[in-house]
Amino acid sequence: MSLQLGLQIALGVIMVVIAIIAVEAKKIISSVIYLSLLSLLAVVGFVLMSAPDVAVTEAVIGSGIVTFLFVFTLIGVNKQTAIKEDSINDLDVHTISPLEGGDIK
Amino acid sequence: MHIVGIVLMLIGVYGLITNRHIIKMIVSINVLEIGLNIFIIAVGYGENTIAPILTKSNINATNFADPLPQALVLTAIVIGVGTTAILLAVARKLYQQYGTYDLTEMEGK
Amino acid sequence: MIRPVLLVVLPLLIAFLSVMFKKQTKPLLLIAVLINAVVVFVIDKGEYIIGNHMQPYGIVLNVDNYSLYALIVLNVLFALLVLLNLAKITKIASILMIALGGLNGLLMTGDLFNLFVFLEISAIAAFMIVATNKKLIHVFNYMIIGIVGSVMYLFGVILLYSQYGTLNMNKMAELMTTTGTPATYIPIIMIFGGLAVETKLLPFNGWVKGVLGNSDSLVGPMIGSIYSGVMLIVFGRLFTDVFVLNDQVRILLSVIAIVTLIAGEVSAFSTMKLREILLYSSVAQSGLAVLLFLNGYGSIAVLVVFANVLAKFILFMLAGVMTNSHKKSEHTEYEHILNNTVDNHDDISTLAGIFVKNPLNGVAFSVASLSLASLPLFFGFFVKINVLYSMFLRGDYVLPAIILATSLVEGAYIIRMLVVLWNPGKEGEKATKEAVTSLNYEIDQLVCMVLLLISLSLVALGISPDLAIDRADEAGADLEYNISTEYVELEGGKE
Repeated sequence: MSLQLGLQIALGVIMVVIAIIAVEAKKIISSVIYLSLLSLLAVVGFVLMSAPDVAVTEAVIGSGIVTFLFVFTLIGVNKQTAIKEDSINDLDVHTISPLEGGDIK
Repeated sequence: MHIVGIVLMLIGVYGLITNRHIIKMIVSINVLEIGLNIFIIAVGYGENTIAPILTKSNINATNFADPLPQALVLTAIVIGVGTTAILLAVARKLYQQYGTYDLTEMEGK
Repeated sequence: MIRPVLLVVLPLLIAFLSVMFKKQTKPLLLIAVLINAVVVFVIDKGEYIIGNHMQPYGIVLNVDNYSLYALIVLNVLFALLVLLNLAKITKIASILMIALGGLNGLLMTGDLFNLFVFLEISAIAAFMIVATNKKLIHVFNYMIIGIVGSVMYLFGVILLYSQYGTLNMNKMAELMTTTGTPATYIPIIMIFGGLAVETKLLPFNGWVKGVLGNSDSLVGPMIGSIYSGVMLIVFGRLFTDVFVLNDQVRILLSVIAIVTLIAGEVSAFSTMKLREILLYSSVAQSGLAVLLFLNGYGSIAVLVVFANVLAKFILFMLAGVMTNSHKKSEHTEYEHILNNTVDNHDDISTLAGIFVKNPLNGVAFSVASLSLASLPLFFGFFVKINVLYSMFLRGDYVLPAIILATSLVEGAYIIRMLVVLWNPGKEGEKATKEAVTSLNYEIDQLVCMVLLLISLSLVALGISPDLAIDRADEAGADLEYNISTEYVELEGGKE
């Protein structure tokens, strides 16, 4: 087995495992982080398959823009529940913020 | 790597069917699109092919990888970013309207 | 002389300009729409090469009879829709431009990947047009199913590329007839599944009830009439001109279309809400058109699509206006907007007798729905007669039986809907004052007159249908696998 083929097989197995973890994770923020890691592994895959321009594009977009969009959405919502919690100061209400939220399936 | 692409697409569809949390559904759609891109590039790659870019040293080479699927993937990646952005905007609006990210609770209201 | 690329490029350019000049979006939108509607009548037919690369290596635009007639109908109806809804388009003017550019490109393109790009552009524009709705959860479902459909389409295209080595539609048609179809039919089934999302076929039409069931008078005709017609024409182009199917796959895909037709008509019969009746009827007509395209009746299918597009335009626009009605004495329009309470009167029984007070709208609505039910004197009658005639000429007896049975159900629910809306109460008597509803709605006089004119065109086409039938014949002659060549054009038999 040449080095190229061995690398591809190893990379493929790791990508499948990370994808399963990303889809089944309990916390939402860890799901997003695993998606970013999957995108980085895809960049390595594109380089191994002789597509350097695609690799650069996916590196910028997958690890930069998409992760930023997800985190921006989750953080913005978290601030909203934090503001709601501050305004209710006589009742003991505990709202579960979506960043740490339980697994909803 | 063809098989890896197809398996990733199947994982993405599985995640889309079983999850009820909106953000995880969007993550599953991204996994689906990454799987599709890997499959498309794998279609254009043969054994011992090099990157389809002409430089001074490989101006007489003959084993270039197929550049057409790479152009397709560039377009598909950017379209994926656009749809992810609009899905996240709608998800945020839904949270403001219903107070939860869970689809079953939203349909109940 | 005028290149058809302008039909795509001009709306996109004006969409980008309107983001910079925010104050003048509405005049820019009107200029673009009117220029498109005028230019489409002067473009010439032919194959136009984009970017100076010759045919199998570059992208060509196919403007033949089939595309040209579809382009004319699309641009004129889009212009009408924008002009009739001038109050509602200020928020989404740029997106309407992108939708117009995308839809024009879909009809003209001659390359499979270019079709994917225009499909995505039109789909994203449709998502944002629908997102002006109040209930965002249906929009979310539509988006998810739309994105999965596009991914399936691209998967099918890349499998075809790995087998044939080209993405050009003309070249692929040539290669498929000479070297044979793929050994397993997975690419063609994937492409069928990808297009089945937008053409409302059965496994993938879960989004239709949510999106069109809550539509107003801009979203309803746009998604239910214009997008539906364009997607069916694209489907016809792909499955009769480019792909070659063998008998087993044809039967499998036809079964899906037949199940959609039957399920659509039965669901329309079982509901009592106005917009749901219309949207299930749309699903059934899509199933019928797909069935006709798959079995080679290309020009008849074009007639079915044309009749459906015209009728649903009128029906969805009126339904969108009527279901936003309110009681006269209680609120004025301003109080509704301030309190954010728009009453959604969807059930037919609450709208009973509403046409007694608005007879002109009633005439337009009745003409459109009777044409849908294929009664004589209207255009739908000739469409259905030609469908059955072509099938009988070919010796096919199962399909006409199914189509006649579903037409019976269709006639039943349309007549029931019309009776409740015109004359509720006991049969045979004029409606009493208590039975007639006390709801009122406001409609612009221009809208009312334009809808009456369109419905009069349905009557005119019903009296002399050879205008439309000749065009459909020319359009069908451009498709490769088209076997229907004889038509019924005048009352009293074949001519």
